[in-house]
Amino acid sequence: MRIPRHDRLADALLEVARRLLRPDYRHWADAMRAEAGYVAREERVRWALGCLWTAIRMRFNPMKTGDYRVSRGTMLVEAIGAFVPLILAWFEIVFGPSGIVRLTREVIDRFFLTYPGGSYILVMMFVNGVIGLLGPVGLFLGLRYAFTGRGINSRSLGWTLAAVPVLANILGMMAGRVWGPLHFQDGQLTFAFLFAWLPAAVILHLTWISRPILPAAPDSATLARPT
Amino acid sequence: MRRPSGQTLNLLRALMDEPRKWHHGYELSQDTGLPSGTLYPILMRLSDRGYLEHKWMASPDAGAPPRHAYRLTAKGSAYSREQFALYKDPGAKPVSLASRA
Repeated sequence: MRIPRHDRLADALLEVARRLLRPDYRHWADAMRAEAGYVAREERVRWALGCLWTAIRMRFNPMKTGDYRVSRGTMLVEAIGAFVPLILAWFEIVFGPSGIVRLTREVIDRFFLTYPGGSYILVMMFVNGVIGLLGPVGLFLGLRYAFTGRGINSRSLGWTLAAVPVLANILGMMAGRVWGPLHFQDGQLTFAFLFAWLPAAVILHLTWISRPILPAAPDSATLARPT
Repeated sequence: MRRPSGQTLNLLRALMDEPRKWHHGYELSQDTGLPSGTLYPILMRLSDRGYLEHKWMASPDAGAPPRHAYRLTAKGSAYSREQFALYKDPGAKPVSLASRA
């Protein structure tokens, strides 16, 4: 009897998955392959692709050796290093000699609107005036972790706080290519690293470090073994 | 150790619906909406931590191949209940690394 093409494809994918898995996980490959026989035919290739993805993930998992747990003191230094430059920049943008609080109609007309790219600079000042609030907020969160051990327990909050400066930076750089002044790109990468990517990374670190700890794995002798 | 993801909690819920019953991978995938690429890594992790037991079971259909079946161990059931309680109670604080120090 002729085997349909998508079944052959599913079989091939499952075989690759089997070869990718470590020998002590091969019974899982057998389990996934056996289960594929019970999966509705039209879903079988997708099922097999998922199994292949599982094998790839399990293959790479042991390579992850990074441990991002740090002491409170290290987090204190990290938070100061990441957020103080942002606070200084934010303070300059908002309260500096040519900051937002000193803008008047006359200043805007004379120094921004009459120059090419000036409108873009003006808009970015306001955007960064808002985004820069991450500086004091981030420093507060970092200090709170350093002194109380409480990080960012809400994953959605952490991801939002990290994503906002990064997205704003990427969109701002893209907009700058179109509407920004000449030589706008100079120094943009340093700016991006210092005021967007670094603070975002520390926010994610504060979120990651607040994850709860599951109980330790049981003794291997108590683990169930396949029959 | 990590906080269990929503997907892991969904799977634990599906397994806890009938804790003594042996569940199959495809059935769990349909119950939870998890694709195989998400389901099996979670099953493997739960098994590695001793929360899940598994065995090969003969299919009731003649000629059909045996299937791998899963259910929570007593430790896995206790862990599931603990996690459900923790994330049901909005006031509950996850155990952070620093608070253990």
